[in-house]
Amino acid sequence: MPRRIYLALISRLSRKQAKRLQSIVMALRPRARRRAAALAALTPEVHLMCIAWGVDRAELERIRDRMLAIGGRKPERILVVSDCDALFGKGSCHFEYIPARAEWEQRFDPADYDGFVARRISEIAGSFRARRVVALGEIAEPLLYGLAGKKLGPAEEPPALEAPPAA
Amino acid sequence: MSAVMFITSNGFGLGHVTRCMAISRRLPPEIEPIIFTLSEALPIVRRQGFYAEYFASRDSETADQWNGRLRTRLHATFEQYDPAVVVFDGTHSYRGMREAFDEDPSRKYVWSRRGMWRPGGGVSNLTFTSYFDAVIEPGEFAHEVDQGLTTQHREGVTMVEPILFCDQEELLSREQAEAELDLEPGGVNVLIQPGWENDQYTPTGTRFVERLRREGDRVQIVVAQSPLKSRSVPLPAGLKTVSTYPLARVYRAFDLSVSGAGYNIFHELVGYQVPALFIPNAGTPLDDQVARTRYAQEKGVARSWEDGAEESLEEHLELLLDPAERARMRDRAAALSFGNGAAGAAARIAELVEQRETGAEDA
Repeated sequence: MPRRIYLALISRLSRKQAKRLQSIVMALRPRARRRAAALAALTPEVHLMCIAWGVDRAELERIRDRMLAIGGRKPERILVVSDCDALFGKGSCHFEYIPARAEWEQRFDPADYDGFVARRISEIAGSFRARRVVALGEIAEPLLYGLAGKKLGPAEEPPALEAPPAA
Repeated sequence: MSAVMFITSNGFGLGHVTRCMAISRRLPPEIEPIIFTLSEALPIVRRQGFYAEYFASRDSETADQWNGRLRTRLHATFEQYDPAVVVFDGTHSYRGMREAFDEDPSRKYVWSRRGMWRPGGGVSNLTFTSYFDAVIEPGEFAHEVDQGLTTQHREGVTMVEPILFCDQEELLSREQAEAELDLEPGGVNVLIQPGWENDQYTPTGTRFVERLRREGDRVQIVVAQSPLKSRSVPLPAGLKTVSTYPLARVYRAFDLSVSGAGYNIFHELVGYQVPALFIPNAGTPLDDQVARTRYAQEKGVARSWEDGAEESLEEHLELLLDPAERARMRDRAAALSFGNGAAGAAARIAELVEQRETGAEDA
């Protein structure tokens, strides 16, 4: 169906009818769907993911600059993850903000925070296909649990760490 | 406790995020707002006391990569926070967002869709209306001259008055605002804020500063700097600047403003009756700022400087520097005043939360 006709038609339909028409069009275009699925499977790749936790703005910017120096000044290769909201401008490295514990605890169950962060870090590492991960600052180990390849469900908490065997 | 998630696009200024915060402030206490923003305004959102999530706008990635990640993140946040209602404030809905909506039809999806689109523009944007269960349209002072496509697609849309962050009673008195800005009482105070999306910000702002400085010490000039770090611009030396949020709190300190004409700034100045010289941006992709400001001039509440010419600038400033003319503008604005649509929008969203919780449908 020519795009012009499709757009004119869909703008005249009710929401329910428009949704139905969209589903029919997608079902009739399997090649487009396959292509879209293949492209969507591509995820960006970063060489270095740095988790900078519990740091202030100045320290976060210093960490970012060091990561950029390590990464050969190629910002697209670097990802910084932090609970500090000092955002980097366009053209700087990738940045992911995870809500800080204090704000979480004001609204949600404090016991859920570690699991939330572990799941989010795991999702970020997967989305960016990070080759290497570095953790700096005051981050408790359970928050990194997801990086070990364990999948955590929505309400699942990371298990308590066992004490290392005595030497 | 129910949650409502607001997804705000990354516009040039603070418009989208301000409208979402304005509505959030007026939600009932049993509803927890979560602001999911693509905007650099994340620190501002947090400082205003809201819980915020951030997702960076597309930079070096392909559109497919970015939309794929957006879909994944939204899916995860929907599972985590279980919002009853998700509100999107923006003109173009992202593919990754639409896919996340499609995958989770259990929630109510709302489009906060501002009007005043440029005539003929936004055709493809409207095709995505089917992804939303409801549309709320923040009102426009200049609605009579709205020639955009949204005017033909209002069936079932909840129309509210213009949305403002502050109510009138939250504004500081003139004395309080002057003290906060360290201004001498008794002068003519001018606020310059040509608009963050305006590429001519620095030269335009400089022209006005130079012109107003010729009025001598009786005119005190304050330049608004964007609270967004990436938008701060160099200015002539020796100027008083202000970079507070919400800036409207101190509007009563000002006798007039030279201002951009984005939705929020425009409605704040007209709504709070601050005589203004608006500089509409004719180059915006969809926002019909020229129609908005021309209407304000026709109604006698403001002036609209469109041609960038020195002669017309002089003409406008002559009028605005006349206290009698400013008084007339304030009176006109008071006669044409409007309420704050944020409360109406919050009420509609609360209604949708209840529908989702009880399984009821819209009549």
